[in-house]
Amino acid sequence: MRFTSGKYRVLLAGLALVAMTAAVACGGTSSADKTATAGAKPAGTTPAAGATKATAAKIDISGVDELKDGSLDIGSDIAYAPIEFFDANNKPVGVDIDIANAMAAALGVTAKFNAAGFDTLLPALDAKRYDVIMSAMTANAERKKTVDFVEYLNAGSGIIVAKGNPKNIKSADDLCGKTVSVQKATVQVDFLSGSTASPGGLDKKCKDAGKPGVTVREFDDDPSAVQALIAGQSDAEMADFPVAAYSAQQSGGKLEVVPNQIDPAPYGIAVRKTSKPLNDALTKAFAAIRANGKYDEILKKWTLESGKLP
Amino acid sequence: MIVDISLPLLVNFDFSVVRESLFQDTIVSGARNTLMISALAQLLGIGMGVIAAVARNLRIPVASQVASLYIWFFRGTPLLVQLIFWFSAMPQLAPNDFSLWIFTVRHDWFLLSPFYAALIGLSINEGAYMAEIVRSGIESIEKGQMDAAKALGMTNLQAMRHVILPQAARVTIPPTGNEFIAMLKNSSLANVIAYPELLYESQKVYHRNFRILELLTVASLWYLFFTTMFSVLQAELEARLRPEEERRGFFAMIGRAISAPPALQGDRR
Repeated sequence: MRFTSGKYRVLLAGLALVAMTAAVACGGTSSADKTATAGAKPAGTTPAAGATKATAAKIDISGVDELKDGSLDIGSDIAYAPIEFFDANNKPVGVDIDIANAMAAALGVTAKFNAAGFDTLLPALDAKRYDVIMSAMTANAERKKTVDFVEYLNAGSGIIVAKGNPKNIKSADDLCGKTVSVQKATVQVDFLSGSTASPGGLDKKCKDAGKPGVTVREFDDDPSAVQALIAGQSDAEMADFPVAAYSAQQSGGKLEVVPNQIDPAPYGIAVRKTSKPLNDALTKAFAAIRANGKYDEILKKWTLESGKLP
Repeated sequence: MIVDISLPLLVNFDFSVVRESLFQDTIVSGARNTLMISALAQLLGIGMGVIAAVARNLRIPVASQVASLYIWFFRGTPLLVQLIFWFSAMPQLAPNDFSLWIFTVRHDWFLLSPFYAALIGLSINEGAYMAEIVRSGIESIEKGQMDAAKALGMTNLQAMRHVILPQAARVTIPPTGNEFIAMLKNSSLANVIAYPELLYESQKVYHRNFRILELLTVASLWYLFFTTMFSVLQAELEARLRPEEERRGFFAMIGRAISAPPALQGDRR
C-alpha cells in the first residue's frame, strides 16, 4: 500500500477538513457562549431584574437539590402574551415572569426563564434540562400522570375570530363544521380533538349531534396559529382566554374575542414527580406571596383578577 | 416476530408503545400522506426542472433569464421558509375578489390548504434542484449529438425531444433517485403548516402520551421503509438501463433477488 497515492491523499484531505471544521465549531461555540453570558442579555435567559431577598421568615431550601445553584431554571414557551412574552428589548415579561420572580425572591434564589417550544417542555423537564416548567400550562389529569403541579392561576379557553365575526361563532358549539387553528400539545387540542378523559372531544360531540366535525389545524406556536386566522386559513383560533383576549386586543382591529371562558382550569408550575422537596418549597413560596399581597398586586397589574386562585 | 427489548440500559423505552403505534390508523394515514405528497411533488418538480433546464439551454432571451432567476431564488432560500410563505404569507398578498372580463377571481382561491401549500412549496423547490440535475444530464451528452440532429434537419426543440433528453435521462436517474429520497424526508417540514403527514401525526400521539422516543422511532421506521423500498427500486432501474454493468451494492442485490430470473429476460430479447 502506498499512502501517498491519490486516493489516500483525498481521504486524508477529507478527514483534515472534518477535523478542522469540528475544531472551529467547538471552539467557536464556547467563545460565543462566554460573550453571551458576560455581555448583553441573551434572548432566551434572564435573571430576575428586581429580585430582592425576602425580609420575612426565610423558607428553608437546604434540602432542595435544584436550588443549590441559587437559580430556579424555568422552561417556558415565551410566545404567549400576556402570560409570557418578549418585550421590545427582548426581555421576557408577563404574568408568569412576575409570579416566578416573586416566588423566587421568597425562596432567596433567582428565577431564570429559558425559551423553548411548548411541545418540547415536558420531555425536557423529564430529561432534567430545567428545574420546573412555567408556561401557562394547565394542570390537567393527563399531565398529572407524568408531573406534579404547584397551581397558581385560573384560566379557561377562549376563541378568537375575524373582526365582525363573519362565521357567527358565539360559543364552542358553533365550531362544528368550522376550521380551528391551535397550538400543538395544548389543552385546546384536547378540547377539540379529544383526550383519554374525553375521547373525540368537540369533534365527536359535533358528529354525534349530526353536525359536521371540527377541522383542527395544529401549529408549533400560538402566534402561528393566530397568523393562520388572520390569513383566513382558519375560521377561529383557540388559546387560553387571557391570551386570546390579548391577541384580539393587539391585532389592530383585525380580530375579536368571543366572550365567555370555556372550562376554567388552574395553571400550574410543573415539577418532576421525583422533586418533592422542590415542590414543597414552591408551595410554601406561593403561600408566602399570597400572604404578603404580591400575588394580588401582579394580578391587578395584568388585569387578571378574574384568574385569582380560590 | 418482534422481540421485546427490555434491556436494563433502555429503562425508559417501551417497545410495546412502538408496536401499538406502528400500524395505528392515524400513523398509517400520515405515512400514506407523506408518500403521496412526496411522489406528487417529485413528479411536478421533475416537470418544472425539465422546463427550466430546457429554457436555459434554448436561446430565447426572456425564458432563459426567468429560468435562471427561478433556480437562483428557490435554491437560495430554505424550504421551510418557502412552505411557511405559501401557507401563511401568500394569502395576505392575495387580492380581494375582482373581475377579469366575465371571470371572477376569488380571494378564497389564494387560501391554499395545507395540502396545496405543501404540494406547491415542495414541487417548486424541487424543480429548482431538478433543473440543475437535468442541465448536467443534457450537458453530459457530447456536442456531436446535437450537431448530428441539426444535420438531419431537426430544430433545437425537436433535437431536445428526440435525441438529447432520452440520453440525458440515463445520466439523471441516480441523482433524481437521490432527490426523491431527500423529498421523502423533506416532506416532514410540512408539519409546520399543519399538513397531516407522518411527523405531524407522530407528534400528535406523543403530545398525548409523552412517549417521544417511541413515537420518533415509529416515524423513523416508516421513513426507513419508504427510502429502502425506493433505493431497491432505483438500483433495479439503473441495472436495467445498463444491463452490461455488473450489479454491485446491497440494494442491487435485493433488487436482483426479487426481480425476474435471467432466463425470462433472455426470452424477451
